[in-house]
Amino acid sequence: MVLEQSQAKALLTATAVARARTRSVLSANWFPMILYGVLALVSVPVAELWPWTAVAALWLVGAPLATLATALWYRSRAIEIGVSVNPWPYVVTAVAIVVGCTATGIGGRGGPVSYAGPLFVIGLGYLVFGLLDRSRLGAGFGAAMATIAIIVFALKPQHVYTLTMVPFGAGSVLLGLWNLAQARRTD
Amino acid sequence: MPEAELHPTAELDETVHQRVRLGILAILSEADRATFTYLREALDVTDGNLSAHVAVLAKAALVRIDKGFVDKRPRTWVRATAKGRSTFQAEISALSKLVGRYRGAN
Repeated sequence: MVLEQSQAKALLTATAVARARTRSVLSANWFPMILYGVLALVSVPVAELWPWTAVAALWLVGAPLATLATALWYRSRAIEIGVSVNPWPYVVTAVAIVVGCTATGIGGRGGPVSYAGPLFVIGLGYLVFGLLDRSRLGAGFGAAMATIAIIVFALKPQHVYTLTMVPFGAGSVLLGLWNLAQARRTD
Repeated sequence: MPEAELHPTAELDETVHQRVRLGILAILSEADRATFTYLREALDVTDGNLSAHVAVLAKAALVRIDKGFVDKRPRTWVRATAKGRSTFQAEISALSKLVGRYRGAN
């Protein structure tokens, strides 16, 4: 088989371009980022004004609904654009987040674990999503949230829920908007 | 006497070593599955051309074709098999070695 260097290079370049384009199309995650971010921000006044059971109830209802909406969004997007990733790593991570948040949120009974625990689980979850999407920004955001969770668990400051959920919610919404802008450019 | 090292071209796979077929496997190495429409647009080929190349890959058991319906419209999905993914990686590795070899010679 005779193959010129230029031909081999051209094949490698074309392959890299096809992979990068597909990766870029598949990396759209703005819907869940914005949805969970808004949910976190909405939960802040609930936590400030009512007992911890109110915010626990908000998440118990809101998180599964948001997860379902996210699954439907990914499904309809895959049909629309004609390409999809293997959903199972994402489904397993999402279920682990919901279970972990519920266990630590309710198990903490309004104490530091009920605030730091879910944020730590969410941070780890975002880290995994970031690694799956090969997004340094997403993975970095997840790692930062997990670190904040450890800090608030150690320091136990006043208004700990607000202090953790505002950066998480705002960060998630901002990352989602950035991702949406990127997706609009790619689509 | 040490065993003679094979030239990297010997590692190239005749089935995969083609722009469109390599492109199909490249896309499917990033995705779980892709539609005919996505592949056609991404690779800038005609329906007939794409069908012929997908058929070659399917015959070699490198991809699997799933036919279904979305909103009563037929839709064909293509996904890489485990053999397809490993063959693609081996092809990329052989091509990279070849480019490296040329670079070293210059």
